[in-house]
Amino acid sequence: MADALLPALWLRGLTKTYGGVNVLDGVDLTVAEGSVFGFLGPNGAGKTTTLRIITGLAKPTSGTARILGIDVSESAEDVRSAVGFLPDVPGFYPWMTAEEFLRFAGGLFALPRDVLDERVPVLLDLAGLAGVSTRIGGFSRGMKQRLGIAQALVNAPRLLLLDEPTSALDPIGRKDVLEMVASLAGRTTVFFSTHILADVERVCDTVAVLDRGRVAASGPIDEIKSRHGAQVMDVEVDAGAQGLAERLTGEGWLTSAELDGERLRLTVSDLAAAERAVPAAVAALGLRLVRLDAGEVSLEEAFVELVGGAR
Amino acid sequence: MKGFGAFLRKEALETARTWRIWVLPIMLVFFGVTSPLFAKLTPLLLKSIGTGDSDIVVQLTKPVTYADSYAQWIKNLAQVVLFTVIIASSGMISAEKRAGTAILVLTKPVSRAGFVVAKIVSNLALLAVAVTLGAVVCWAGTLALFGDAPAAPLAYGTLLWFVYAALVVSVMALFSALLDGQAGAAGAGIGFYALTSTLSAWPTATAFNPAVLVGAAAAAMAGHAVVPVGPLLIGSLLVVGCASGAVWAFEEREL
Repeated sequence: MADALLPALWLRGLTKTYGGVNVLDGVDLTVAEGSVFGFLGPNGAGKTTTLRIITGLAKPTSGTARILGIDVSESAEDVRSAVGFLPDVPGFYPWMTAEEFLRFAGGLFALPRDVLDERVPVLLDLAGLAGVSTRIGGFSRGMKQRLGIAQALVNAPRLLLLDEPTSALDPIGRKDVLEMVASLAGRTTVFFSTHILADVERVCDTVAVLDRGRVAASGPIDEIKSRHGAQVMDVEVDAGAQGLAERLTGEGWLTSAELDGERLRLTVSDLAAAERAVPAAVAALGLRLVRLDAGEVSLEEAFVELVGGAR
Repeated sequence: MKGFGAFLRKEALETARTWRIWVLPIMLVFFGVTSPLFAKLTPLLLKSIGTGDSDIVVQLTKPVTYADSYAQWIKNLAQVVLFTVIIASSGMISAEKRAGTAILVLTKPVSRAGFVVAKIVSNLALLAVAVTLGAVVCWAGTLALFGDAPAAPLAYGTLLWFVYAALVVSVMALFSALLDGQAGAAGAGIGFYALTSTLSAWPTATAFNPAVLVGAAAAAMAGHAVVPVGPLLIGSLLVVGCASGAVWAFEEREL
Protein backbone atom coordinates (compact mmCIF):
# COMPACT_ATOMS: atom_id res chain seq x y z
CA MET A 1 0.00 0.00 0.00
CA ALA A 2 0.95 3.68 0.15
CA ASP A 3 4.47 4.26 1.41
CA ALA A 4 6.66 7.34 1.64
CA LEU A 5 9.45 5.57 -0.27
CA LEU A 6 7.25 4.69 -3.21
CA PRO A 7 7.16 7.03 -6.18
CA ALA A 8 4.23 9.42 -6.23
CA LEU A 9 3.39 8.26 -9.73
CA TRP A 10 4.58 5.17 -11.58
CA LEU A 11 3.49 4.35 -15.13
CA ARG A 12 4.64 1.29 -17.03
CA GLY A 13 3.78 0.32 -20.60
CA LEU A 14 0.69 2.51 -20.62
CA THR A 15 -1.14 2.35 -23.92
CA LYS A 16 -4.44 3.77 -25.07
CA THR A 17 -5.95 3.10 -28.46
CA TYR A 18 -8.88 4.96 -29.99
CA GLY A 19 -10.23 3.62 -33.25
CA GLY A 20 -7.00 1.83 -34.11
CA VAL A 21 -4.84 4.88 -33.32
CA ASN A 22 -2.32 4.59 -30.49
CA VAL A 23 -2.77 7.79 -28.51
CA LEU A 24 -0.43 6.41 -25.86
CA ASP A 25 2.18 3.97 -27.01
CA GLY A 26 3.88 2.45 -23.98
CA VAL A 27 4.34 5.35 -21.57
CA ASP A 28 6.93 4.64 -18.85
CA LEU A 29 7.30 7.30 -16.20
CA THR A 30 8.37 7.63 -12.59
CA VAL A 31 7.65 10.75 -10.57
CA ALA A 32 9.48 11.00 -7.25
CA GLU A 33 7.50 12.19 -4.25
CA GLY A 34 8.11 15.86 -3.44
CA SER A 35 9.07 16.94 -6.96
CA VAL A 36 7.44 19.56 -9.15
CA PHE A 37 7.25 17.54 -12.33
CA GLY A 38 6.65 19.10 -15.73
CA PHE A 39 4.90 16.83 -18.21
CA LEU A 40 5.77 18.44 -21.51
CA GLY A 41 4.50 17.71 -24.95
CA PRO A 42 3.07 19.34 -28.03
CA ASN A 43 -0.70 19.46 -28.50
CA GLY A 44 -1.99 15.96 -29.23
CA ALA A 45 1.00 14.19 -27.69
CA GLY A 46 -1.23 12.34 -25.21
CA LYS A 47 -0.77 14.42 -22.03
CA THR A 48 -4.49 14.77 -21.24
CA THR A 49 -5.15 11.11 -22.07
CA THR A 50 -2.41 10.11 -19.62
CA LEU A 51 -3.99 12.26 -16.92
CA ARG A 52 -7.46 10.88 -17.65
CA ILE A 53 -6.12 7.36 -17.10
CA ILE A 54 -4.27 8.35 -13.93
CA THR A 55 -7.44 9.90 -12.49
CA GLY A 56 -9.67 6.97 -13.46
CA LEU A 57 -11.69 8.94 -16.00
CA ALA A 58 -10.51 6.59 -18.76
CA LYS A 59 -9.22 3.05 -18.80
CA PRO A 60 -5.88 2.10 -20.37
CA THR A 61 -5.83 -0.35 -23.25
CA SER A 62 -2.86 -1.97 -21.50
CA GLY A 63 -0.22 -1.14 -18.93
CA THR A 64 -0.20 -0.11 -15.30
CA ALA A 65 -0.64 3.18 -13.49
CA ARG A 66 0.17 3.37 -9.78
CA ILE A 67 -0.24 6.33 -7.48
CA LEU A 68 1.70 6.06 -4.22
CA GLY A 69 1.97 2.33 -4.87
CA ILE A 70 -1.74 1.76 -5.41
CA ASP A 71 -2.93 0.44 -8.76
CA VAL A 72 -5.36 2.99 -10.20
CA SER A 73 -7.51 0.39 -11.96
CA GLU A 74 -7.91 -1.73 -8.83
CA SER A 75 -8.64 0.91 -6.16
CA ALA A 76 -9.60 4.03 -8.04
CA GLU A 77 -11.60 5.57 -5.18
CA ASP A 78 -8.84 4.95 -2.60
CA VAL A 79 -6.29 6.47 -4.95
CA ARG A 80 -8.42 9.56 -5.48
CA SER A 81 -8.46 10.25 -1.73
CA ALA A 82 -4.74 11.08 -1.95
CA VAL A 83 -4.91 13.05 -5.20
CA GLY A 84 -5.95 16.55 -6.20
CA PHE A 85 -6.80 17.19 -9.84
CA LEU A 86 -7.34 20.25 -11.98
CA PRO A 87 -8.55 19.53 -15.53
CA ASP A 88 -7.55 21.80 -18.41
CA VAL A 89 -10.98 23.43 -18.47
CA PRO A 90 -12.48 23.03 -14.99
CA GLY A 91 -16.27 22.96 -14.89
CA PHE A 92 -17.87 24.56 -11.85
CA TYR A 93 -21.47 25.00 -10.77
CA PRO A 94 -22.13 28.64 -11.72
CA TRP A 95 -24.70 29.08 -8.95
CA MET A 96 -22.18 28.33 -6.18
CA THR A 97 -19.76 30.73 -4.55
CA ALA A 98 -16.06 29.84 -4.27
CA GLU A 99 -16.45 29.02 -0.58
CA GLU A 100 -19.47 26.82 -1.23
CA PHE A 101 -17.59 24.93 -3.93
CA LEU A 102 -14.60 24.32 -1.65
CA ARG A 103 -16.90 23.06 1.10
CA PHE A 104 -18.71 20.86 -1.41
CA ALA A 105 -15.38 19.48 -2.68
CA GLY A 106 -14.28 18.83 0.92
CA GLY A 107 -17.57 17.07 1.57
CA LEU A 108 -16.87 14.68 -1.30
CA PHE A 109 -13.68 13.72 0.57
CA ALA A 110 -15.80 13.31 3.71
CA LEU A 111 -13.71 15.93 5.52
CA PRO A 112 -15.18 16.91 8.90
CA ARG A 113 -16.70 20.36 9.28
CA ASP A 114 -13.99 21.63 11.67
CA VAL A 115 -11.27 20.70 9.17
CA LEU A 116 -13.12 22.56 6.43
CA ASP A 117 -13.68 25.56 8.71
CA GLU A 118 -9.93 25.74 9.12
CA ARG A 119 -8.84 24.86 5.58
CA VAL A 120 -11.32 26.70 3.35
CA PRO A 121 -10.31 30.26 4.37
CA VAL A 122 -6.64 29.37 3.88
CA LEU A 123 -7.33 28.02 0.38
CA LEU A 124 -9.47 31.03 -0.53
CA ASP A 125 -6.61 33.24 0.56
CA LEU A 126 -4.09 31.20 -1.43
CA ALA A 127 -6.31 31.53 -4.51
CA GLY A 128 -6.76 35.25 -3.98
CA LEU A 129 -10.50 34.74 -3.57
CA ALA A 130 -10.92 35.62 0.09
CA GLY A 131 -13.87 37.94 0.49
CA VAL A 132 -15.19 37.25 -3.01
CA SER A 133 -18.90 36.58 -2.62
CA THR A 134 -19.76 36.64 -6.34
CA ARG A 135 -21.11 33.37 -7.72
CA ILE A 136 -18.68 31.36 -9.84
CA GLY A 137 -20.74 32.07 -12.96
CA GLY A 138 -19.38 35.63 -12.80
CA PHE A 139 -15.72 34.62 -12.41
CA SER A 140 -12.99 35.35 -14.96
CA ARG A 141 -11.03 32.48 -16.47
CA GLY A 142 -8.09 33.25 -14.16
CA MET A 143 -10.29 33.23 -11.06
CA LYS A 144 -11.75 29.88 -12.10
CA GLN A 145 -8.30 28.45 -12.65
CA ARG A 146 -7.11 29.64 -9.23
CA LEU A 147 -10.27 28.22 -7.65
CA GLY A 148 -9.53 25.02 -9.57
CA ILE A 149 -6.16 24.72 -7.88
CA ALA A 150 -7.67 25.54 -4.49
CA GLN A 151 -10.31 22.81 -4.85
CA ALA A 152 -7.60 20.37 -5.89
CA LEU A 153 -5.81 21.12 -2.62
CA VAL A 154 -8.84 20.79 -0.33
CA ASN A 155 -7.89 17.25 0.71
CA ALA A 156 -4.22 18.20 1.29
CA PRO A 157 -3.24 15.75 -1.49
CA ARG A 158 0.06 13.91 -1.65
CA LEU A 159 -0.08 14.23 -5.43
CA LEU A 160 -1.46 17.26 -7.25
CA LEU A 161 -2.25 16.74 -10.93
CA LEU A 162 -2.61 19.87 -13.06
CA ASP A 163 -3.60 19.59 -16.70
CA GLU A 164 -2.49 22.63 -18.73
CA PRO A 165 -3.30 25.02 -15.88
CA THR A 166 -2.04 28.12 -17.68
CA SER A 167 -2.78 27.43 -21.34
CA ALA A 168 -5.78 29.73 -21.72
CA LEU A 169 -4.83 32.48 -19.31
CA ASP A 170 -3.70 36.04 -19.91
CA PRO A 171 -0.18 36.97 -18.67
CA ILE A 172 -1.40 38.13 -15.25
CA GLY A 173 -3.59 35.07 -14.72
CA ARG A 174 -0.67 32.88 -15.81
CA LYS A 175 1.70 34.58 -13.40
CA ASP A 176 -0.78 34.13 -10.51
CA VAL A 177 -1.27 30.43 -11.22
CA LEU A 178 2.49 29.80 -11.59
CA GLU A 179 3.13 31.57 -8.29
CA MET A 180 0.51 29.34 -6.66
CA VAL A 181 2.18 26.23 -8.08
CA ALA A 182 5.66 27.44 -7.10
CA SER A 183 4.44 28.03 -3.55
CA LEU A 184 3.51 24.33 -3.30
CA ALA A 185 7.06 23.11 -3.93
CA GLY A 186 8.22 20.96 -1.05
CA ARG A 187 4.70 20.62 0.38
CA THR A 188 3.26 18.14 -2.12
CA THR A 189 4.21 16.42 -5.35
CA VAL A 190 3.04 18.44 -8.33
CA PHE A 191 2.56 16.84 -11.75
CA PHE A 192 2.08 19.66 -14.21
CA SER A 193 1.18 19.00 -17.85
CA THR A 194 1.76 21.78 -20.34
CA HIS A 195 3.08 22.72 -23.74
CA ILE A 196 4.37 26.09 -22.46
CA LEU A 197 8.07 25.56 -21.92
CA ALA A 198 8.66 28.82 -20.07
CA ASP A 199 6.18 27.72 -17.38
CA VAL A 200 8.03 24.48 -16.85
CA GLU A 201 11.41 26.21 -16.64
CA ARG A 202 9.96 28.58 -14.09
CA VAL A 203 8.40 26.14 -11.61
CA CYS A 204 9.50 22.56 -12.31
CA ASP A 205 12.60 20.70 -11.18
CA THR A 206 12.05 17.54 -13.23
CA VAL A 207 10.47 17.02 -16.63
CA ALA A 208 9.35 14.36 -19.05
CA VAL A 209 8.82 15.09 -22.71
CA LEU A 210 5.95 13.20 -24.32
CA ASP A 211 5.95 12.87 -28.09
CA ARG A 212 3.33 10.97 -30.07
CA GLY A 213 2.32 8.88 -27.08
CA ARG A 214 5.83 8.00 -25.92
CA VAL A 215 8.15 9.49 -23.33
CA ALA A 216 11.03 10.86 -25.41
CA ALA A 217 13.09 11.98 -22.41
CA SER A 218 12.73 12.25 -18.66
CA GLY A 219 14.89 13.65 -15.86
CA PRO A 220 16.04 16.85 -14.13
CA ILE A 221 15.71 19.92 -16.36
CA ASP A 222 19.46 20.65 -16.48
CA GLU A 223 20.19 17.06 -17.47
CA ILE A 224 17.60 17.17 -20.27
CA LYS A 225 19.01 20.46 -21.53
CA SER A 226 22.61 19.26 -21.60
CA ARG A 227 21.68 15.89 -23.06
CA HIS A 228 19.36 17.11 -25.78
CA GLY A 229 19.90 20.81 -26.32
CA ALA A 230 22.37 22.00 -28.91
CA GLN A 231 24.43 24.96 -27.63
CA VAL A 232 24.76 28.14 -29.57
CA MET A 233 27.61 30.64 -29.89
CA ASP A 234 27.16 34.05 -31.50
CA VAL A 235 30.30 35.62 -32.98
CA GLU A 236 30.60 39.07 -34.55
CA VAL A 237 33.75 40.42 -36.25
CA ASP A 238 34.47 43.77 -37.94
CA ALA A 239 35.07 42.11 -41.33
CA GLY A 240 35.91 38.69 -42.80
CA ALA A 241 33.17 36.62 -41.16
CA GLN A 242 32.94 34.52 -44.34
CA GLY A 243 36.63 33.58 -44.01
CA LEU A 244 36.15 32.76 -40.33
CA ALA A 245 33.25 30.47 -41.18
CA GLU A 246 35.36 28.69 -43.80
CA ARG A 247 38.25 28.27 -41.33
CA LEU A 248 35.98 26.76 -38.67
CA THR A 249 34.26 24.35 -41.08
CA GLY A 250 35.40 20.83 -40.33
CA GLU A 251 35.98 21.39 -36.61
CA GLY A 252 34.71 18.40 -34.67
CA TRP A 253 32.69 20.51 -32.21
CA LEU A 254 30.88 22.52 -34.94
CA THR A 255 27.41 21.29 -35.89
CA SER A 256 26.41 24.18 -38.15
CA ALA A 257 27.29 27.80 -38.94
CA GLU A 258 24.87 30.48 -40.12
CA LEU A 259 26.30 33.64 -41.65
CA ASP A 260 24.43 36.94 -41.33
CA GLY A 261 26.57 39.86 -42.56
CA GLU A 262 29.56 39.93 -40.23
CA ARG A 263 27.76 37.83 -37.64
CA LEU A 264 28.08 34.08 -37.26
CA ARG A 265 25.73 31.84 -35.31
CA LEU A 266 27.55 28.61 -34.50
CA THR A 267 25.69 25.57 -33.24
CA VAL A 268 28.19 23.56 -31.23
CA SER A 269 28.36 20.22 -29.52
CA ASP A 270 31.26 21.10 -27.19
CA LEU A 271 31.02 24.64 -25.89
CA ALA A 272 34.38 24.61 -24.07
CA ALA A 273 36.24 23.56 -27.22
CA ALA A 274 34.47 26.26 -29.23
CA GLU A 275 35.31 28.90 -26.63
CA ARG A 276 39.00 28.06 -27.04
CA ALA A 277 39.04 27.67 -30.83
CA VAL A 278 36.98 30.65 -32.01
CA PRO A 279 39.10 33.46 -30.49
CA ALA A 280 42.22 31.64 -31.71
CA ALA A 281 40.82 31.50 -35.27
CA VAL A 282 39.84 35.19 -35.13
CA ALA A 283 43.36 36.10 -34.04
CA ALA A 284 44.98 33.85 -36.66
CA LEU A 285 42.96 35.58 -39.42
CA GLY A 286 43.86 39.02 -38.03
CA LEU A 287 40.22 39.98 -37.49
CA ARG A 288 38.83 42.22 -34.75
CA LEU A 289 36.38 40.46 -32.44
CA VAL A 290 33.34 42.68 -31.81
CA ARG A 291 31.19 40.23 -29.83
CA LEU A 292 31.33 36.63 -28.56
CA ASP A 293 28.31 35.21 -26.74
CA ALA A 294 27.98 31.64 -25.62
CA GLY A 295 24.21 31.23 -25.44
CA GLU A 296 22.68 29.27 -22.59
CA VAL A 297 20.84 26.20 -23.71
CA SER A 298 17.11 26.64 -23.35
CA LEU A 299 14.57 23.94 -22.66
CA GLU A 300 12.93 25.01 -25.88
CA GLU A 301 15.96 23.92 -27.87
CA ALA A 302 16.02 20.58 -26.07
CA PHE A 303 12.27 20.23 -26.65
CA VAL A 304 12.59 21.02 -30.35
CA GLU A 305 15.37 18.48 -30.72
CA LEU A 306 13.27 15.84 -28.97
CA VAL A 307 9.95 16.35 -30.70
CA GLY A 308 10.50 18.72 -33.56
CA GLY A 309 12.77 16.78 -35.89
CA ALA A 310 10.27 14.45 -37.45
CA ARG A 311 7.45 17.03 -37.75
CA MET B 1 -21.98 4.49 -3.13
CA LYS B 2 -19.16 6.70 -1.84
CA GLY B 3 -19.94 10.41 -1.86
CA PHE B 4 -23.70 9.84 -2.23
CA GLY B 5 -24.70 12.03 0.73
CA ALA B 6 -22.48 14.99 -0.16
CA PHE B 7 -23.53 14.87 -3.79
CA LEU B 8 -27.22 14.58 -2.87
CA ARG B 9 -26.87 17.71 -0.70
CA LYS B 10 -25.42 19.50 -3.73
CA GLU B 11 -28.37 18.35 -5.82
CA ALA B 12 -30.82 19.68 -3.22
CA LEU B 13 -29.02 23.04 -3.12
CA GLU B 14 -28.94 23.16 -6.92
CA THR B 15 -32.67 22.50 -7.06
CA ALA B 16 -33.30 25.36 -4.64
CA ARG B 17 -30.98 27.78 -6.47
CA THR B 18 -31.80 27.15 -10.15
CA TRP B 19 -34.73 26.88 -12.57
CA ARG B 20 -35.49 23.41 -11.26
CA ILE B 21 -37.35 24.75 -8.24
CA TRP B 22 -39.76 26.65 -10.48
CA VAL B 23 -40.70 24.39 -13.38
CA LEU B 24 -42.37 21.30 -11.89
CA PRO B 25 -43.67 22.78 -8.61
CA ILE B 26 -45.21 25.79 -10.33
CA MET B 27 -46.67 23.66 -13.11
CA LEU B 28 -48.19 21.20 -10.66
CA VAL B 29 -49.59 23.89 -8.38
CA PHE B 30 -51.02 25.58 -11.48
CA PHE B 31 -52.76 22.35 -12.49
CA GLY B 32 -53.87 21.91 -8.89
CA VAL B 33 -55.61 25.29 -9.10
CA THR B 34 -56.98 25.00 -12.64
CA SER B 35 -58.25 21.39 -12.55
CA PRO B 36 -61.21 22.07 -10.20
CA LEU B 37 -61.72 25.47 -11.78
CA PHE B 38 -62.04 24.06 -15.31
CA ALA B 39 -64.23 21.22 -14.09
CA LYS B 40 -66.57 23.77 -12.51
CA LEU B 41 -66.53 26.32 -15.33
CA THR B 42 -66.63 24.07 -18.42
CA PRO B 43 -70.34 23.16 -18.08
CA LEU B 44 -71.22 26.80 -17.45
CA LEU B 45 -69.30 27.81 -20.57
CA LEU B 46 -70.97 25.10 -22.61
CA LYS B 47 -74.39 26.14 -21.34
CA SER B 48 -73.69 29.75 -22.26
CA ILE B 49 -73.36 28.62 -25.91
CA GLY B 50 -76.98 27.50 -25.85
CA THR B 51 -78.44 30.74 -24.51
CA GLY B 52 -79.90 33.72 -26.32
CA ASP B 53 -80.71 33.46 -30.06
CA SER B 54 -78.48 30.44 -30.63
CA ASP B 55 -80.03 27.31 -32.19
CA ILE B 56 -77.64 25.15 -30.21
CA VAL B 57 -79.04 23.51 -27.12
CA VAL B 58 -76.56 22.11 -24.62
CA GLN B 59 -77.96 19.57 -22.22
CA LEU B 60 -75.75 18.10 -19.49
CA THR B 61 -76.83 14.58 -18.57
CA LYS B 62 -75.32 14.63 -15.07
CA PRO B 63 -74.12 17.30 -12.70
CA VAL B 64 -70.37 17.95 -12.40
CA THR B 65 -68.73 16.60 -9.25
CA TYR B 66 -65.35 16.26 -7.60
CA ALA B 67 -64.70 13.33 -9.98
CA ASP B 68 -64.61 15.75 -12.92
CA SER B 69 -62.05 17.86 -11.09
CA TYR B 70 -59.91 14.78 -10.36
CA ALA B 71 -60.29 13.61 -13.99
CA GLN B 72 -58.93 16.95 -15.15
CA TRP B 73 -56.00 16.62 -12.70
CA ILE B 74 -54.97 13.13 -13.86
CA LYS B 75 -55.34 14.19 -17.51
CA ASN B 76 -52.81 16.93 -16.91
CA LEU B 77 -50.49 14.57 -15.02
CA ALA B 78 -50.71 11.95 -17.76
CA GLN B 79 -49.78 14.29 -20.58
CA VAL B 80 -48.20 17.70 -19.95
CA VAL B 81 -46.50 16.79 -16.67
CA LEU B 82 -45.02 13.54 -17.97
CA PHE B 83 -43.67 15.32 -21.06
CA THR B 84 -42.18 18.00 -18.84
CA VAL B 85 -40.55 15.34 -16.65
CA ILE B 86 -39.03 13.77 -19.78
CA ILE B 87 -37.66 17.06 -21.08
CA ALA B 88 -36.44 18.32 -17.68
CA SER B 89 -34.60 15.11 -16.87
CA SER B 90 -33.15 14.48 -20.33
CA GLY B 91 -29.78 16.01 -19.33
CA MET B 92 -29.76 14.50 -15.84
CA ILE B 93 -26.32 12.95 -16.27
CA SER B 94 -25.06 14.10 -19.67
CA ALA B 95 -25.37 17.81 -18.78
CA GLU B 96 -22.79 17.42 -15.97
CA LYS B 97 -20.53 15.50 -18.34
CA ARG B 98 -20.83 18.22 -20.97
CA ALA B 99 -20.26 21.06 -18.50
CA GLY B 100 -17.16 19.40 -17.09
CA THR B 101 -18.54 19.35 -13.55
CA ALA B 102 -18.74 15.54 -13.54
CA ILE B 103 -14.95 15.43 -14.01
CA LEU B 104 -14.28 17.54 -10.93
CA VAL B 105 -16.70 15.42 -8.88
CA LEU B 106 -15.63 12.00 -10.14
CA THR B 107 -11.91 12.60 -9.67
CA LYS B 108 -12.68 12.74 -5.97
CA PRO B 109 -13.59 9.64 -3.95
CA VAL B 110 -17.14 9.55 -5.31
CA SER B 111 -18.42 6.39 -6.96
CA ARG B 112 -20.24 6.67 -10.24
CA ALA B 113 -23.09 4.69 -8.65
CA GLY B 114 -23.35 7.34 -5.93
CA PHE B 115 -23.40 10.07 -8.59
CA VAL B 116 -26.19 8.44 -10.65
CA VAL B 117 -28.34 7.36 -7.70
CA ALA B 118 -28.12 10.84 -6.14
CA LYS B 119 -29.33 12.29 -9.45
CA ILE B 120 -32.30 9.89 -9.60
CA VAL B 121 -33.21 10.37 -5.93
CA SER B 122 -33.10 14.17 -6.18
CA ASN B 123 -35.27 14.16 -9.31
CA LEU B 124 -37.78 11.80 -7.69
CA ALA B 125 -37.82 13.84 -4.48
CA LEU B 126 -38.56 17.05 -6.37
CA LEU B 127 -41.30 15.33 -8.35
CA ALA B 128 -42.79 13.82 -5.19
CA VAL B 129 -42.86 17.17 -3.39
CA ALA B 130 -44.27 18.98 -6.43
CA VAL B 131 -47.02 16.44 -7.12
CA THR B 132 -47.98 16.31 -3.42
CA LEU B 133 -48.22 20.09 -3.37
CA GLY B 134 -50.30 20.09 -6.56
CA ALA B 135 -52.58 17.33 -5.29
CA VAL B 136 -53.21 19.18 -2.01
CA VAL B 137 -54.07 22.36 -3.92
CA CYS B 138 -56.35 20.36 -6.24
CA TRP B 139 -58.09 18.75 -3.26
CA ALA B 140 -58.57 22.12 -1.52
CA GLY B 141 -59.89 23.72 -4.72
CA THR B 142 -62.23 20.83 -5.35
CA LEU B 143 -63.57 21.03 -1.79
CA ALA B 144 -64.09 24.77 -2.10
CA LEU B 145 -65.90 24.58 -5.45
CA PHE B 146 -67.81 21.32 -5.12
CA GLY B 147 -68.27 20.98 -1.36
CA ASP B 148 -67.17 17.35 -1.56
CA ALA B 149 -63.63 16.13 -2.16
CA PRO B 150 -62.71 12.68 -0.84
CA ALA B 151 -58.95 12.65 -0.33
CA ALA B 152 -58.33 8.92 -0.61
CA PRO B 153 -59.11 8.44 -4.35
CA LEU B 154 -57.05 11.50 -5.22
CA ALA B 155 -54.10 10.37 -3.10
CA TYR B 156 -54.24 6.78 -4.29
CA GLY B 157 -54.63 7.75 -7.95
CA THR B 158 -51.78 10.24 -7.71
CA LEU B 159 -49.61 7.57 -6.09
CA LEU B 160 -50.31 5.11 -8.94
CA TRP B 161 -49.35 7.82 -11.42
CA PHE B 162 -46.18 8.56 -9.42
CA VAL B 163 -44.97 4.96 -9.79
CA TYR B 164 -45.14 5.32 -13.58
CA ALA B 165 -43.53 8.80 -13.37
CA ALA B 166 -40.72 7.30 -11.27
CA LEU B 167 -40.17 4.78 -14.03
CA VAL B 168 -40.00 7.61 -16.55
CA VAL B 169 -37.34 9.35 -14.40
CA SER B 170 -35.36 6.13 -14.09
CA VAL B 171 -35.59 5.52 -17.84
CA MET B 172 -34.40 9.08 -18.46
CA ALA B 173 -31.39 8.46 -16.19
CA LEU B 174 -30.54 5.44 -18.34
CA PHE B 175 -30.89 7.38 -21.61
CA SER B 176 -28.94 10.32 -20.21
CA ALA B 177 -26.12 7.99 -19.15
CA LEU B 178 -26.08 6.31 -22.56
CA LEU B 179 -26.44 9.36 -24.81
CA ASP B 180 -24.41 12.58 -24.78
CA GLY B 181 -27.07 14.69 -26.45
CA GLN B 182 -29.95 15.99 -24.37
CA ALA B 183 -32.25 16.09 -27.42
CA GLY B 184 -31.48 12.45 -28.21
CA ALA B 185 -32.30 11.38 -24.64
CA ALA B 186 -35.53 13.42 -24.70
CA GLY B 187 -36.51 11.80 -28.02
CA ALA B 188 -35.80 8.34 -26.64
CA GLY B 189 -37.86 9.18 -23.52
CA ILE B 190 -40.82 10.30 -25.62
CA GLY B 191 -40.43 7.11 -27.63
CA PHE B 192 -40.57 5.08 -24.41
CA TYR B 193 -43.71 6.96 -23.32
CA ALA B 194 -45.38 6.48 -26.71
CA LEU B 195 -44.51 2.78 -26.82
CA THR B 196 -45.74 1.95 -23.32
CA SER B 197 -48.87 4.06 -23.80
CA THR B 198 -49.65 2.31 -27.08
CA LEU B 199 -49.07 -1.07 -25.47
CA SER B 200 -51.60 -0.23 -22.76
CA ALA B 201 -54.30 -0.49 -25.44
CA TRP B 202 -53.31 -4.13 -26.00
CA PRO B 203 -55.38 -6.28 -23.59
CA THR B 204 -52.70 -8.97 -23.22
CA ALA B 205 -50.19 -6.37 -22.00
CA THR B 206 -52.42 -4.79 -19.37
CA ALA B 207 -51.37 -7.37 -16.79
CA PHE B 208 -47.77 -6.14 -16.73
CA ASN B 209 -47.46 -2.84 -18.64
CA PRO B 210 -46.59 -0.03 -16.18
CA ALA B 211 -48.28 2.56 -18.44
CA VAL B 212 -51.58 0.96 -17.38
CA LEU B 213 -50.99 2.69 -14.03
CA VAL B 214 -52.03 6.02 -15.57
CA GLY B 215 -55.39 4.62 -16.64
CA ALA B 216 -55.71 2.88 -13.28
CA ALA B 217 -55.04 6.21 -11.57
CA ALA B 218 -57.90 7.81 -13.53
CA ALA B 219 -60.20 4.94 -12.59
CA ALA B 220 -59.21 5.21 -8.92
CA MET B 221 -59.93 8.94 -8.91
CA ALA B 222 -63.32 8.26 -10.46
CA GLY B 223 -64.12 6.10 -7.44
CA HIS B 224 -63.45 2.63 -8.88
CA ALA B 225 -61.63 0.06 -6.78
CA VAL B 226 -58.50 -0.81 -8.75
CA VAL B 227 -55.39 -2.62 -7.60
CA PRO B 228 -53.08 -3.08 -10.62
CA VAL B 229 -50.70 -5.49 -8.88
CA GLY B 230 -48.86 -6.63 -12.02
CA PRO B 231 -48.11 -3.15 -13.43
CA LEU B 232 -47.16 -1.90 -9.94
CA LEU B 233 -44.76 -4.77 -9.41
CA ILE B 234 -43.27 -4.63 -12.90
CA GLY B 235 -43.10 -0.82 -12.76
CA SER B 236 -41.25 -0.89 -9.43
CA LEU B 237 -38.84 -3.56 -10.66
CA LEU B 238 -38.19 -1.56 -13.83
CA VAL B 239 -37.42 1.56 -11.76
CA VAL B 240 -34.67 -0.38 -9.99
CA GLY B 241 -33.62 -2.11 -13.22
CA CYS B 242 -33.28 1.13 -15.21
CA ALA B 243 -31.45 2.83 -12.34
CA SER B 244 -29.01 -0.11 -12.23
CA GLY B 245 -28.68 0.10 -16.00
CA ALA B 246 -27.89 3.82 -15.74
CA VAL B 247 -25.18 3.10 -13.15
CA TRP B 248 -23.68 0.36 -15.33
CA ALA B 249 -23.79 2.53 -18.47
CA PHE B 250 -22.15 5.46 -16.68
CA GLU B 251 -19.46 3.25 -15.13
CA GLU B 252 -18.57 1.93 -18.58
CA ARG B 253 -18.24 5.40 -20.10
CA GLU B 254 -15.00 7.36 -20.32
CA LEU B 255 -15.15 10.99 -19.29
